[in-house]
Amino acid sequence: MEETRIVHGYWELSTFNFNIEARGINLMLEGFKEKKLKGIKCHQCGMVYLPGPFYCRKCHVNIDEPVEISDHGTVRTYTVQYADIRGEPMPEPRVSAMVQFDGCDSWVMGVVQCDPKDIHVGMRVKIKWKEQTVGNMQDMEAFVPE
Amino acid sequence: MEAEKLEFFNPKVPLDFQYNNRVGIGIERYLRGLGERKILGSKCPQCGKVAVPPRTVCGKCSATMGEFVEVSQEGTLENFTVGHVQLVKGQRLEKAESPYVVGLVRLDGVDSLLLARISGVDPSDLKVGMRVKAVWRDEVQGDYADLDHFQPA
Amino acid sequence: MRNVGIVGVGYCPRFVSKRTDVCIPEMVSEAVEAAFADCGLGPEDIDAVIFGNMHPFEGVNMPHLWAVEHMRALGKPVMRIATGGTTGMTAFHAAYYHIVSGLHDVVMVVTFEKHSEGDAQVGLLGIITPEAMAMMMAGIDLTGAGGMGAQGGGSAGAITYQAVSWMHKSGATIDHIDAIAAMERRNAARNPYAHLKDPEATPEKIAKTPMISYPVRFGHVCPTTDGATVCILASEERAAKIADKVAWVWGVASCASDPTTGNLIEGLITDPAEQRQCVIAAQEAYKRAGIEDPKKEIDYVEIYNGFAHQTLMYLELVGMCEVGEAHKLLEKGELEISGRLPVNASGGVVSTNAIGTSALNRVTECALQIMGKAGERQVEKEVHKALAHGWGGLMQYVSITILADKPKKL
Repeated sequence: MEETRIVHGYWELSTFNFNIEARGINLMLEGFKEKKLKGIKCHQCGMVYLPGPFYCRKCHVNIDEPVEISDHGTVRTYTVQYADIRGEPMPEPRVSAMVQFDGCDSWVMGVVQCDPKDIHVGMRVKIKWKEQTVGNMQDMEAFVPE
Repeated sequence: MEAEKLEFFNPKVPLDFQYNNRVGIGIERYLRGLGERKILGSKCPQCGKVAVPPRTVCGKCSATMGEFVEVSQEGTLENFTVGHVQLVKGQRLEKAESPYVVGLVRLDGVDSLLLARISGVDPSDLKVGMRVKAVWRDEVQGDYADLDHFQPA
Repeated sequence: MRNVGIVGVGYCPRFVSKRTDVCIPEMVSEAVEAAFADCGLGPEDIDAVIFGNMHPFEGVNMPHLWAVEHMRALGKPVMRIATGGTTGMTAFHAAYYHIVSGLHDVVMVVTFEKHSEGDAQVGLLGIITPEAMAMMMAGIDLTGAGGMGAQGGGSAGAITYQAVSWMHKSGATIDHIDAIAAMERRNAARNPYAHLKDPEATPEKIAKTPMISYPVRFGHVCPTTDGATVCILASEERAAKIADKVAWVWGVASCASDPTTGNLIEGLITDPAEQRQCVIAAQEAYKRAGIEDPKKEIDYVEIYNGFAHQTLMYLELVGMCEVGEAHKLLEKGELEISGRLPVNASGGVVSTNAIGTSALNRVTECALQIMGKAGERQVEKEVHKALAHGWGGLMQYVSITILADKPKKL
C-alpha cells in the first residue's frame, strides 16, 4: 500500500486552567520550612496521609486534623533508572523509592542517595533536607540511608 | 466543609501534544487529483452513488468503494452562508477584512456536497440553485488550496 | 437475564508500528470487514455499535462518529467507551449489557489504536491528573528523570515500583521476568496478528536487552502498535442461527481502586503491586459465572500484560495460583502453549499493544481458543472455560471476562 500524507494537529494542554484543592499540599510545604513532615489524619479510621486530602479515602468523611510525621521511614519499593523518559541513557543510574515514613500510611516517592547495589525493600532511610528550606518540594533534597 | 476554607492551586500542565494524522487512501487520491486540476470522487459499486472527496466506504449503502472517478468541475450551489468573522489559527475569532461566502456545491453527477469558498459574486446576488464552476489557483501543488474557490458559471 | 455469545471476531490484516497508508476510519473498516467475513453477517444485521480507544492518543475527539460509515453504523446507535488500557474490555462489557438487557440482539464492538499518529509517551503522561501537575508547580521535576519522574513517565515509570514490590512479595527474580517475556515473544511468532515476534526468543536473549529502570528491561516492555479489532456478540437465540462455534459469556466484572498514578496531591496510599481491584473483579466474575474453583475450572487465561512481570503477577491476583506460585508454574513449563495452564498463547500485550484493542484482544483470543479457531497458536489442551483479564485506568482499573464453550444454565 502506498504511503499517504500526514496532517498535523495540536492539543495545547498548557492553555487549560485547572483548580486543585490544595490545603493538604500547602500544609506539607509549610511544614517543609521547619524541616517537618505534616500530614492529615482521619479522625474516624486513623489513616494518616501525606500530603493530606480533605476527605478520608477509606471512609469518605471530611478530615482536617494536622499531624506531624517522622522524617525517618522504610523503603517499600524502589527502582534504579538507567534511561530517561525518551529512552536516552542517563549519565549515571539513579535510585528512587517509595518510602513509608514512620507513623504515616501514604507512600512518598523520591530520589535515594545510595549505591544502586545497596537499595532493597525494607531499607531504612531518612530525609536529607536542604540547608535553607523555603517551602517547596526541592526542600526535600533526597532520601539517604539512616 | 465550609467554602471559605478552600485553598486552590492552579497548575499549568506543561504538556502540548502534536499529532501526525494520516489522511488515508481516499483523501490522498483526492489531493493528488487536485494537483492535476482534476476533481476525483469515489463511485459505489453497489448503489452507484458518487462521493466527493472520495471515501472508501459508501455513505449511502455501506459498501466498500474502490473505484475513483473524475467528476465535473461545474455544479449547483445548494446552500451558503456569509462569514463576517474568521477563525485565526484555529483558536480565536477575529472580524474578517470583508464578508466572505462559504457554500455547499453539488457537482454535476455527484451525490455529495462539497464545502467550498464562493467568490466573484456579490453576497446579495447569491441564490440557492445558481450554477457555479471551479477556479484553480495559478500554480497547483497537489493540496487542498489548489481548488481555490467556485464562481458563477 | 439471557445468554450472550461471541459469534464473530475480526482483526485488521496486520498489527505493526506504523500504518502509513490508511487513516483511522479506513483501518477500522478493515477489521469490521474481517468480522463480517468471519460470521457471515452484514451491516443490516447489527443493532448497535460500541466503540473504544484511548482518549487523547490520536488527537481525534470523536473517532467513533468520524468512523460511522467505515464501521457500517449508519442509522444505528453508537457509543464510545474509554477506561484507559481496559477500554476494549469495557466496550465488550457494554455490548454484553446491551444484549443481556434485552434491548438489542446483535451488537458490534469496534476498537482501535493508531499510535503512530500521536506520541504515546507524552500521551501516557496525559493520564497524570492536574493534581500531579500541582506537585510539579511545587517543585517536582515530573517529566524529567527525577525520582518522581520514574512515577510520572507514563505507565512505564510507575510500573517499575510495581515490579519490585511484586518480586519482593512473590519471591520471583528478574530471571523469571526474562523467561516469561521470552515465552510470549515465541508465542507471538505463531500469531499472524502479533507485532513483536521472535520464534527464537530465550531468557538469555531478553536479558541482553538494555535495562530501562530496574527491573524493567527493554525486552519486558510492550511496543506501540497500530491496529484494530472487532467482535460481534449476539443473544442466544440469534447466535445459534449465526454461527456453529460460539464462545459464551458466563461472567463479567470490573473494579476501580485508588489511582496509583496521578493522585499524588492526596497522598499515595496504594502499593502499586497490591492491585486489590483485580482480586475483587475476579471474585465477582467467578461468582457471576458460578465458578467455585478457578484453578480447576479455567483452562486458558489471557492476561493484560503491558509489562512482562504482569503475566505472573495477575495470574496470582485473579486466583489461578497462590501468591509466589506463578513463577514456579513458569519454571515447570506449565504456562506454555503445550502446558497445563496455557497463558497468552497470543503473545499478550507485551508483544502487541494497540491500546484500544488490547483488552478486547484478550477476550477475542480466549474466544478463538474456545472455538478452536486459534490456528498455530491453538493450545494443546481442550479449552472449555477461559478467563480474559484487562488492566487500565490510572493503573487501578481491572476488568474480567469469563467465556465458555456452552451457554450458561440460567
